[in-house]
This record gives sequence, C-alpha cells and structure tokens, in this order.
Amino acid sequence: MGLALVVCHLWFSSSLGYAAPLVLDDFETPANLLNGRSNVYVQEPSRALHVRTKDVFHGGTASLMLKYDKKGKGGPYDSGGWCGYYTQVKSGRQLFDATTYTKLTLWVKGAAGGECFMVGVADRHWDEVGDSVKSEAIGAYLPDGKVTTEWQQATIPLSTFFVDMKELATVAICFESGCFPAGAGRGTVYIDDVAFE
Amino acid sequence: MHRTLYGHLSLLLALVMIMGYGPPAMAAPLLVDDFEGEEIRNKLGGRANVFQKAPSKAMISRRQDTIEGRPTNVLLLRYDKRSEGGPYGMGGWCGYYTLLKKPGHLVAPVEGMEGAPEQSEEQYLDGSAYQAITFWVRGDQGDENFMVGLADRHWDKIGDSVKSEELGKYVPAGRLTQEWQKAVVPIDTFFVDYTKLGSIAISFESDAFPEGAGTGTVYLDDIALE
Repeated sequence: MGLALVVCHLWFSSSLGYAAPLVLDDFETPANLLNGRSNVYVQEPSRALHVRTKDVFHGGTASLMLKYDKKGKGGPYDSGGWCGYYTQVKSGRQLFDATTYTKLTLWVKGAAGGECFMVGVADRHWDEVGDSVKSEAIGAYLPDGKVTTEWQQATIPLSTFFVDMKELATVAICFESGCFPAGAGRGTVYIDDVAFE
Repeated sequence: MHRTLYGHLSLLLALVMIMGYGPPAMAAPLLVDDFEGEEIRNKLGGRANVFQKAPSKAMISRRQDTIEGRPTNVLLLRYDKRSEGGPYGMGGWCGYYTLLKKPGHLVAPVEGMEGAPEQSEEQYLDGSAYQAITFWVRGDQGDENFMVGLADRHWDKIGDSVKSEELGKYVPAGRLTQEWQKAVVPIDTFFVDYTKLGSIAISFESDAFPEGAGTGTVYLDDIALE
C-alpha cells in the first residue's frame, strides 16, 4: 500500500514537472516509506543504537531515537572508528532519482541539547565504496544554529552534496569526528519525518 | 663476397635479436579502465575514486555514450575547483585517481616466530615498456581543462603526482571539445621511476583555469598504457 502511494506520488509529481515533498521515513513502520533497509553502521570502538520509539515524536506517533558513542582513539588509523545510521533510498539495484528535489529536510531534537552529527548522502559510487558525502555539522541547517531539546526542522540544500542526484542510494546520519571536540562525543538524538522537498 | 658478408651479418643480427640483445620489444597496450560493468575497481583490480580538499570538490558517475559509433559506458567526472579558502587560502584541490599498484597481502608468520601476520610491500606496476598514457575524452561544454598526473612509488607515498601540461597539448584539436578525442600523453612527460608506477590522476589544477577556479564536467573512457 505504502509503495503504491509512493509510485502514485512519483508519477503525479513527474507529470506536473515538479516534485511534491516525498517523506522518506516517518518512523511509524519498521521499514522506510521507499521500502529500503535501515540500520546503524559501526566500526569499533565507536558504537550506535537505533530504536523506533513511541515515547518522543514530532509527527504521528513515533520517531527514531539514535544513541551514539563516537570515540576519538583506537580502531583503524587510531581515529576512534565511526558510527551512524543509514536508510536506503534505492530499491534493490534501482537507484533513486532525486533531480526534481532541491532539499532534504528532517526534524531533530536532542536529549540534552548540543548534540551533533552530519548528514551523508551516497550515490551509486559512494554506495559501492561504502561511504557517503557529508554535509556540514547539522547546526548549520537549523534555525537555532544547534541541536536543542526542542524539535527543529533542518533544511539541507541537496546542492550541499556533490553527488549524482540521478542515482541516490542512501541517506545517513553520521557522527563524524569533525562534529566533536577532540573527535569524540556521545549522546542521544531524535529524528522524525525525513523528506525530500 | 659482399653477398656472403651481408648474409653473415644478417645471421648474426638475427641471433642477437633472438638472444634478447636487440631493441626492447613493444608492449601490448594495457587497458587500465574501460568503465564497463558494475565494479568500482579498475581492470587491474586497483581502487579508483575522487580526491578532494574543501572547498574544492569532485564527483564521479558513469554514463552511456558512443565513441566512433561504438556504444560504451564512460566515466563522468564533475569538478568544482575553487581558488579561495582551504589550505593556504588556495581553494583546496580536486581530481580523480585510478591505482596501478596492487595492495600488499598478509604474510603468515613463519613457524616459531611471534607476532601477527605482516603486510607485504605494495606491488608497483612496471611501466617501462610503455610509451604513453592514452584515453578518450570530451567535455560537456567544451574548453574544460585539466592536467594528467602520474605517481611513482615516491609520489605515491607523498600522496601527490607529477603533472603533465594542460590537456589541450595532447589532443588533436588542441583543446577539449564536445566531441570525443583520443588524448596521447607521452610517458616521458613525467620525470618519475617508470618501473614503479602507483597511479594515474586527472587533476584539476589551479593553473588550468583563469583566476585559478573552474567548474565543469568531462567524460573519459579507455584509460590505457600504450
């Protein structure tokens, strides 16, 4: 049913020549709304945990809770490893054409405020490499300039990502060392209503 | 008498050639990457990717195209070379590399020795039998520009390469156009150790652009050593 709605949405949008917003994930169901797989990615000693929680949400009845513990030392190159969360916008080998969208939006709040991450986008190439092209720290895209304990909508221009927008594979929440003093940080963020607009 | 002497000389020359003392044999062309298939590694098994230092950036993808009537997959390489910001206020750098070297492999410890397996030395490509780096190239608009880089073991360890002149010198039209042209870059353009080649690069150097900054898209295919 969800997939049929997405197909209808894409057909209707393309017939008009512009794209109406496409919600990628509202975290109300186990999979995202493009039927793509979602999970954390981790390289020790860093780690991350994801839960679709009904305790905190912006829209609907649920959101994504992400706990992260990004280390600054140990692991490959002694850089502390890496951690984050990805959600696939590709379906099998079929990549997602995002050329009719101009921005990626999401709602975010922190458990304590001051949490940080970057948004990553991978096209076919970066998906095969197993990495993504990163945005700036999320504060650059928030009205308050940083994550707070209140819900805020982040608006990230897709032009931020120098990738092939005709062939998108994944969107990621990346707890990069560049987000944190000394390259290490831990905390909890809540994400809701990730969309292409 | 002379006929007999020439006969002996010819026989001697033939013997010398057979024994391997003659001029070096021409190597068959070595295709580095034809961008066919789903593999992100090149035909030598080497990794290929963009290199970039903010605020400059580059991206790659693949497109279907036709070269001399032949349908083929080609590399799309988009670049945004800046002239301000980044290290030393020079705008950073960007480009694309494809590895010629092979990674080292794990060497199992000898019985009785302590410690974890060691990594063997990377295997660099002996390119001494080749005369040129060749590839097909066209621009999205025409007049795009870049330099070709070649790294031997030394430059590979530094993380840089020796650069050619601007690409126009190596294509028939003297500049990039929207039509496919075959670039032939003589390998002696690069003052490196040809017996230990590490990588070939497409480098969007500041010298390639007015004011040191430029954006554009180029397409490449069939990178080879000939």
